[in-house]
Amino acid sequence: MKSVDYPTEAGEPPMPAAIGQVAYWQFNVTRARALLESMDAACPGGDQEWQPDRLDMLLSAVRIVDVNDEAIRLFGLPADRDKVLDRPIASLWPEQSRAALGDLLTTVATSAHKGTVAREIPSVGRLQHVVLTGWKAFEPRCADTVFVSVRATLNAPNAVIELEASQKRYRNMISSLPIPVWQIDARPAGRIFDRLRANGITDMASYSDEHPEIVQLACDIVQVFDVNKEAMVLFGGKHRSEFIRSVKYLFSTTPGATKRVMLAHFSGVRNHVEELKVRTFDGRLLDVLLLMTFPVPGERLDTTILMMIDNTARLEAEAKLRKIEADFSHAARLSTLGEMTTSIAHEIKQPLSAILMNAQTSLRYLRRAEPNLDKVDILTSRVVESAQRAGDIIGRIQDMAGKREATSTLLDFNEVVRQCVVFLRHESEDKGVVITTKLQPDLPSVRGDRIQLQQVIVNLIVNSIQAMKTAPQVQREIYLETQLDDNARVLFSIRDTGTGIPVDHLDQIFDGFFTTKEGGLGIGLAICQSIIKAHGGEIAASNRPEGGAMFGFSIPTTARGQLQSEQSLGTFLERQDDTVPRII
Amino acid sequence: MKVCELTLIPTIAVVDDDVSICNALAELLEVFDFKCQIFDHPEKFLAAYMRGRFDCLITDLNMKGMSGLELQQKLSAADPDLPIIFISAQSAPEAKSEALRLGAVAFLSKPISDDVLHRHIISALSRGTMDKPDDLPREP
Repeated sequence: MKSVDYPTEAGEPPMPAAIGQVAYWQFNVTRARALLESMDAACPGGDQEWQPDRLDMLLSAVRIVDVNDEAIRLFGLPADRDKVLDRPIASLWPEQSRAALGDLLTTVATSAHKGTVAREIPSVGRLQHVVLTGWKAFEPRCADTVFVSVRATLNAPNAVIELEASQKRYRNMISSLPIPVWQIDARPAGRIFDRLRANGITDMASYSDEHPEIVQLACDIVQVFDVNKEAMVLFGGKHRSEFIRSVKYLFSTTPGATKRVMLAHFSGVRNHVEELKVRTFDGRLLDVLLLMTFPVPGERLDTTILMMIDNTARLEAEAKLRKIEADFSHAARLSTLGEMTTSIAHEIKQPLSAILMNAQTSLRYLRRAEPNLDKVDILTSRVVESAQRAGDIIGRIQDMAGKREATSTLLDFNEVVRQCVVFLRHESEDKGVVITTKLQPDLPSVRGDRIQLQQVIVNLIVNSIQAMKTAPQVQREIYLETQLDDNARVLFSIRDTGTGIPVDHLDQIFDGFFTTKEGGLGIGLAICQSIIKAHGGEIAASNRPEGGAMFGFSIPTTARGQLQSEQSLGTFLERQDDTVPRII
Repeated sequence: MKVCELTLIPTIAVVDDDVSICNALAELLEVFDFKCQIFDHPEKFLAAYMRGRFDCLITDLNMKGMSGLELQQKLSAADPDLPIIFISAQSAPEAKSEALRLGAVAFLSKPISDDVLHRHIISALSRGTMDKPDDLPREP
């Protein structure tokens, strides 16, 4: 390697092309001039014993003018140059080599000649055989500018072998990782961000709203430079070369992804996680979890690691499971309705009878020699009323019988309960059951699916009605109660005067396909439990000491519910952040 | 209370806990030129009842508090001659045979046809001069 880490000829500063693995510092020693000269006077040529406070004073007076990327990396400096430049070197230079730097600066700054001065130090932090080389600026007007290059000479053969082995292990690990991995050089975008920051841009979100082209640009100039086998398999690519291009193909299928990734990069976070849809080279559409790890200062800035976890199969399985759950819940509703057909038919026949009689009476008035239109008017109005009543009843049944996706809306829980009582009014009257409600006023609203919650309540009431079949008429009573508990959850309870739950059934009562009813599917209570769980609540059954069964469930109210979901979202994100494998 | 008999317009009592049915029946009976009194509860009917006040009773089978059958039983002692027509929204074969066994004129299923109801009322009112009209045609 042609390495020029100090000027070989007068007037030839180190060229950028020659800057390889060498760290460069540029210092201004104007404020340290007096100290330096007094040092040199005390001990010409340097190599003195430093008193710690004198060394501190000196290094606090030396200002940093510039550093290169390698210096940022080797010395673990903040990646943001603004946090380095114009600061005293005292706070940033490693302890073990401060005396050497002090000597070097004293010698370089005070000597008349323009050559280089070198100091060797056995080790500085993780570096070994460190050579500091210092020289003054050639331009006489910049007499107070001193350059220092830092090389860690790894002349021990072991170290070279170790390094190569380590690089090989890194490559092997990435290529054999069972996760698709892309390696990306995001520095071009980083440089754009640096320029924007230098121009005072801090709110990248609104800046990119005003300049949407920046998002496209940042995406176009960031290149993939390597992918592993898993990535090639995931995308159905045949040659690595298909993958080595702008990262655009990774983000273009998901609206807004490019921008979110760019904002994450700009904000300086360690990791960015989001769910993406990606289009593979052979045309498949996949659901993946994107995990990006951006390098942070102290690490090589040239490698951003991007991983994808294919969630397509899991999401498909989840969708299937949701559908099966919906089917079961639908089957349970139909089963409940099936048990109520008699009373439903009865209930609908009432308004239909009224309609029929009123219509027949109207016809008789109309067919008279002198039609009585006043009567017809009254009767027709009653037909309308009864038809509306029949429509309402059918609507309620359709709500229960329909196959539908669960929705989530804000609900007045007491109203949900009241509608159930209306729905079952006929059924309960038919069976001689008296339903008494005690609903706590001003309950906070709950978030959930009205039909599902009504399914639970209707199911519990129908169970109670059936449990009281054998009870004497005077004792067929159901008490419904709502209240708010200490944890701001809505409590619903139903008590009956039926036969109670056999003690040996209490443990299995919420199990699927557990039934004691002839012809019962045994899914009602299992579905109730899964619905309540899906609403973030719990359901329980017990026997009342005075006889009869009691069922109760509690679900969070919105104030509390929102808080919980935010918390869990937060926990989720933190967890994601922590569990992202740190490859670098 | 003798007005009905004097004017020869029969008075029919209607008992149904569904007010819209009561009203519809009342209008239908009116167009048939009968007099009518409606009660939305069997107890209210019993409170207003006096032997001879009504010429016929039309009652629902299923009602809160007291079923049509119970009402029929209470009346069978006090007024065995009062003709009773049952109407029901439920197909209740056992209740039907029980009602007919206890002497009901007819047991009609809702919704009821005006013509069928009219025929049964006529036959109920003329019961004294006819045998039990068990074999009257059902609604078409």
